[in-house]
Amino acid sequence: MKAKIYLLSLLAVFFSSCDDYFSGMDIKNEYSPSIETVMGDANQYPSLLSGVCTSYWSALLGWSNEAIWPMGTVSDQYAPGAGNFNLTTWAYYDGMEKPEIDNSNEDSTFPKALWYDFYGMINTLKNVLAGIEGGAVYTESGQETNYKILANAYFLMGTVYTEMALFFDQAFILTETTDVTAITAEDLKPASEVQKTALDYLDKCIKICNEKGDFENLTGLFPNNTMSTGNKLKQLANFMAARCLAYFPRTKAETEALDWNKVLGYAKEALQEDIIATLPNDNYSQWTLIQNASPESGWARVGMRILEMMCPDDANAVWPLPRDFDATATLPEFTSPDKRLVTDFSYTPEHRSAAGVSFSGYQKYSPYSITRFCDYRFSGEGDMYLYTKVESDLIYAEALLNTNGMADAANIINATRVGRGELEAVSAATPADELTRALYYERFVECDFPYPATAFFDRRRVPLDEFQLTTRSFRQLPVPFYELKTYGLESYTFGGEKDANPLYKF
Amino acid sequence: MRKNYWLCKTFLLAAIGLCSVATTGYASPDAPSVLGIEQQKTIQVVGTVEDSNGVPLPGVNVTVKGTTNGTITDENGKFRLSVPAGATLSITYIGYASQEVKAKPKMEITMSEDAELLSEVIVTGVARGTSREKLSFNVEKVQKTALKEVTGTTVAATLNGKMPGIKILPTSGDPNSEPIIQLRGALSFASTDQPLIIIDGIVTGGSLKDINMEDVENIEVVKGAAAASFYGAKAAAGVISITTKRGSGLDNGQVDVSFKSELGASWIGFVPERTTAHGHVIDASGNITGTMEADQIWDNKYDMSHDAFDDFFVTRFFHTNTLSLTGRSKSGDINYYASITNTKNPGIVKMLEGVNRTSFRANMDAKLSDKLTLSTSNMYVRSHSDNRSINFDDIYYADPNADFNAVNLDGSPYKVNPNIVSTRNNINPLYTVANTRAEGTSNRFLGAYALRYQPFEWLSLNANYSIDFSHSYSYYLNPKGNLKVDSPDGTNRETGSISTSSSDDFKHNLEVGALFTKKFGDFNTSLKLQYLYEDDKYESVYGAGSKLAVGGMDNISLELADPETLDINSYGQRIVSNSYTAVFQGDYKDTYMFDALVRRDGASVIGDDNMWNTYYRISGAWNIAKTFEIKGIDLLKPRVSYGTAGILPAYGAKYEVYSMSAGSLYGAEQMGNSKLKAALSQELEIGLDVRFLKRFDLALTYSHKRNTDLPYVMAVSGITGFSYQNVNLGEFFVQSYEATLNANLIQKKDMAWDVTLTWDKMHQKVGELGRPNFTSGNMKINSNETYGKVYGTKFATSLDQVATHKDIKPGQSVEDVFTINNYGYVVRKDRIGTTEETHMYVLDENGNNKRGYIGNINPDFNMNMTNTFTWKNLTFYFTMSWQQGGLLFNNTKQYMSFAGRNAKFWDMSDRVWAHRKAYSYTNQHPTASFFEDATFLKMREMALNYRFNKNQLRAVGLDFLRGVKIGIIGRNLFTLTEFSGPDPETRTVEGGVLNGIETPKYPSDIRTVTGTITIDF
Repeated sequence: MKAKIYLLSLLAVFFSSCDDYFSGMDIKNEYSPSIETVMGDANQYPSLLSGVCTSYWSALLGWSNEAIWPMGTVSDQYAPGAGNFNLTTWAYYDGMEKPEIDNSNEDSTFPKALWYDFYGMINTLKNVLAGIEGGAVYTESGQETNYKILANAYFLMGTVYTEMALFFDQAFILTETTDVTAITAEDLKPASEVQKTALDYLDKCIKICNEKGDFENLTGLFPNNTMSTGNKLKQLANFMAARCLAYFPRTKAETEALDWNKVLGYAKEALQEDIIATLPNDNYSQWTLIQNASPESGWARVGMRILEMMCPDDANAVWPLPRDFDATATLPEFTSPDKRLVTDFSYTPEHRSAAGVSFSGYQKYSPYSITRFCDYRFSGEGDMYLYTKVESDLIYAEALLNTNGMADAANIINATRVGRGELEAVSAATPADELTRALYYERFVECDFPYPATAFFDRRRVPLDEFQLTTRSFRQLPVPFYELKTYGLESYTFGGEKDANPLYKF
Repeated sequence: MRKNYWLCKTFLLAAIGLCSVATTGYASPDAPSVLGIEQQKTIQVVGTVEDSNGVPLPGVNVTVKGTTNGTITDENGKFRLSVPAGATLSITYIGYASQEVKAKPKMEITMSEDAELLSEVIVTGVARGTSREKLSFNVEKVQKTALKEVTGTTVAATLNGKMPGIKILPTSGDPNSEPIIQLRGALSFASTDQPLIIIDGIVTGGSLKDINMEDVENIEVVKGAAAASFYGAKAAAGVISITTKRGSGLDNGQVDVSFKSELGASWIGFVPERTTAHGHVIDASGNITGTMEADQIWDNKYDMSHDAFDDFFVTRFFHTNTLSLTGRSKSGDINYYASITNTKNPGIVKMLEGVNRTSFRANMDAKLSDKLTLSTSNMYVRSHSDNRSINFDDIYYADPNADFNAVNLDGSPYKVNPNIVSTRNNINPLYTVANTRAEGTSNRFLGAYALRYQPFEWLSLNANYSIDFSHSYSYYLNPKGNLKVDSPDGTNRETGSISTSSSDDFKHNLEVGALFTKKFGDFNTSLKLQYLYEDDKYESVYGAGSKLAVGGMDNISLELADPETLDINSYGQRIVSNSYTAVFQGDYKDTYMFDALVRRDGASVIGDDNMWNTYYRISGAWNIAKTFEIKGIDLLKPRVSYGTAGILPAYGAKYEVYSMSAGSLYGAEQMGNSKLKAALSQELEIGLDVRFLKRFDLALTYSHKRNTDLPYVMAVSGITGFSYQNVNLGEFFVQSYEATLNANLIQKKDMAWDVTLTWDKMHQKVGELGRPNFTSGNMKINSNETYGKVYGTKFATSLDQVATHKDIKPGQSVEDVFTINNYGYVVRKDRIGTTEETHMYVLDENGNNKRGYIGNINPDFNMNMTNTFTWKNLTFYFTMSWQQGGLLFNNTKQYMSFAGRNAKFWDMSDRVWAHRKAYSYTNQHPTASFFEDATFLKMREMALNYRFNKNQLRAVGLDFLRGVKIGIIGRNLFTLTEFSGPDPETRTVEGGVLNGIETPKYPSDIRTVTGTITIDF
């Protein structure tokens, strides 16, 4: 009897503590939240918006997103080393490799990764906006402050759709009321409609900022407090809207048809500071194309087309290099009237590629590396740029140039042309073509290195043939093959022979 | 979380029921003894039982055939028994061949060790322990001789080369690493699933390397679903079942103490050949410079009076010591086994400490009453590993004569930048070893507790509970102030980084079951019913930071790191499974065997809509030799089995997941899948077991597996906002042919020679993929095609292969532009003999490099041979393995080639001038150049052991010893192969898939020679 009592006592203790010890099979995933968990509380929305900011930054600059890198080479802004990642240079010669986007492989990251990144952000923003519309209330100090969520969500939605409109020829437009499961192939809309959606969202953001004034914005959004107030958010929204309009043309013909007055309206209210992340900063990726262009560790180099532009009197600064340029040859140091050849770049002929010499030297060779914008390359500390005030100013200048504001445009151009490059100033008296040439010169040198897609947008829209994208270059991206397949659509692509154009065969 | 009280209640009721029955058992201490059966007209038999070496065998079962009348031998091998006149005695002892002899008043019986393959008793996946003679499917067992003569360093090493259809593929030679184990091929083209590990009947989740081989009594291997259905949703990749020692075979009152020590050395077996020539300018002082010569030819010899490999790969001492205690109480009611083992294996790299593992085991069976038995198994193992990591590129890229032991400019040892010519500015790996700290400590406890209650002879009830708990902690410190390879003068030093991680894994299982065993006339039947609850919870935290506050290697706190650099994260998972199993096993006159099994299995990691699945097995066999007398054939048993088993999805695969980090929610990442299934493997196994001429056992097995619902990570439509979803798709077929021949070639009193040969061949094929064809590395994964075919670029050897080259201008022919050079490769005519001469690649119709078919990574066949030759007290044993065919991508060679280090491609110093090619020619790397035939012949184990028996020891005054065994053991003594990389057997797991690639890493082809001594007290 005693033994039974002992045993029963032991079992009683054992089972009284077994609530957690044994479990059913309805195990929750406690280390990764689901959408219900995330969207259930509006006070989590700032964190979601912060995540979208980081995702946007990573999609455009992050080391893990190699899909953006081909923009750096198709625009001739960069020359790749040994063809790492997607840094394949699109060749200019007949019979060379065809610069056609491979849109027949569902696993290819380019352009699929961009599409997925952007729709990942759009869905989060869509859910946030739907949450607010559905009655979720975000409070600060006990006060309802939904306008902050809305202003930032509208800005980010407009920003992401801006990138979609600039990159892709068509896209699905998802708003806070869209049922994703009801989407069909017929819902694919041309880029112009995507652009309109982007502008609508950006206008909504600007409207809230105008109504609420210079409010203290949510924290943890873009780095270095560049979105920290209502005014800064408004400047960003204006800049993004200006980009959305100015960079949209796929050809110089489309550029000529642009409503520059509309651009002017946004651009004059745009950035007053650079959009930078000061590293180290946990949420901002450090390994970018610029870092790879750095002389110490990089695969990428400054494109020979940029160097030829900057060194018009140097016979060695030839672009494109001749076909028989020796894969093991080097070029001497160039001379340029532009001081930035020595302040922004460094002559590093001995450094070809970390992985060996270029397989095709004449396509990929360049004796110069960039030293500007990448001071974080050694220790992971320093400023990492996404957009610069100069870029914003030059959009404004271009709008002025196209709306008879020559003198103001020249002043803006001269700020860097003379201020940094120590080149001869331009003025209102300078012929229009020359002013345009000077403006784009500044764009290529001053603001097209940090985010390489900017160079791509500039090359396709520039009204001067000599600066245009080369023949057979793609001018926009197709809907990725995987998505086309999902909706029962045929694969299509851009670039290659069908985009051959003798006008741009340099 | 929904609380689950029903399970607690069920267990409570079951336990109370057991308790009451158990106490009933206690209340009946006077149950009749098997020895108390009265006999008439009896004779008194007195006898001795010895082994073939004359050593008395205690604990041998001696029974009168056809009765339960019997006894067991005492510690001197003696027995005394009253038997009916003319009776036949049955003599049985585990590990020895059973005998039947006529009873005589005085008997001396010599037992020989049982080397018959088909007499082994199998306990894995069956209702009850069953001889392979009566098994209707294939279960392999490591022969006792192998366990006894060369105790493997690990379970995996022990399995290697012992049976057909098993591949043990090392992914690294690091002493702390574990190999990939593949049983009858892969389960899928998209995953590398490992066998289920069972220890003393308990399904475990931990590392196999924690198991101390000195404790192991048996290892059984179930290779496919046809036999593994008993283990349901976790067993499609097979099962490895380990049984540890318990002292159950000892005589009453016997206590054995044994000490075993093994001490020896390990060294690298093979290093890839490097070029000992370079193409760099030698200055006026005779020193090599970093500048390439104008001719760009690697034909200037290094001064090889110093070899960098010798600085790095060194001979290291290895030891393992075991003290064990085995015993049985005087009443015979308790038997036990306890051991302590310490193993130190530093590996083969200078200064690295490898692993130091100490394990404790205490097993006990206690007969609480005639009907109630308590069994406990306890293991505690503590492993301490040196986790300092080395990038093996640094050794393979290094100048061949680099002096790793040179001093730095600041006088510290191991010059950080020892290379002059190295194109990659690699760091001295010894500097890294000497100036970093990284350790891992792991503590694991495995306890199993079983109550078995046998109220009737035909019924046995059991309740088992087990715990498998492990805690691991590790840290890594790269101190502030370390030199950098690109700043050897110390101008720019490391700012330091640190990381630490800690994890707990707690797994516990509860099993209740009943075994019904009944004989109906000539029908023997067994029915086992089992419920099993499994629960595995894992949690971990990790922190890392950089820019350390202080230098040196004395502090390893995360607090040293700059707070702005801190990265802290945590993770956890819990997997709960429930299963109900019924297995019936029967035979008629030991001639016709039948087996049927059904298992209902549920697991929390499966999608909610498919959480429960049913697995089954049906099998039969017929021992024809019992029906028809066939001269010379004792066993002729065709068998057929069909069964199903599964593989669970990875934890988390079914959930909808938002990614997050450092306080930010990034967005939707993984789309949930409530329909996610366990992968299913269906296997048909047909076999034939034959014993002929009383000394040959042959087992032939054909298996056809169809694996479906394979786990796959599939991209989803971008507009969903998610990136991917875990789904089930595709089918994968494996056909395997296996043969084992066991021969007792010599069976004499003083001499025995046993040979075991195994052979297997496999064909793996992708069925309907359920998605478009794709490539995985160099492999093409195409629907309805053989799996393992690799494709890649090749150098052109005929002009038609470059006919589409873009250098051929309009109006030119291929002959105008290209020619064949003196090595038989196509080159440009205008560049032949210049520094610009380069190979041309085979081109496709568009002028692009063609990725043509190169071969298959799967071997043509595998063979193993185990030999045991015994002469008196001397035993010579070895195991050899032969793999024929199978391509392996020699990535070490490719890495070395990229770095100008590969001898075959780069070294021109011994070639005539016309054959010396320059940098542009040698620095080309088509895929085909690095796929090599991985055929090999390996001497896996070899041992020469001598056992001094009690009589010999008594003669020299050591009568307090039962025996002493001394021996020499060699492991992996040689590898014969044409493969030019470090190990033709190694593989790499990339993206979860085991591919046909070796890669620069800790070499796994390691030679070990040890001396052993075992003293039995």
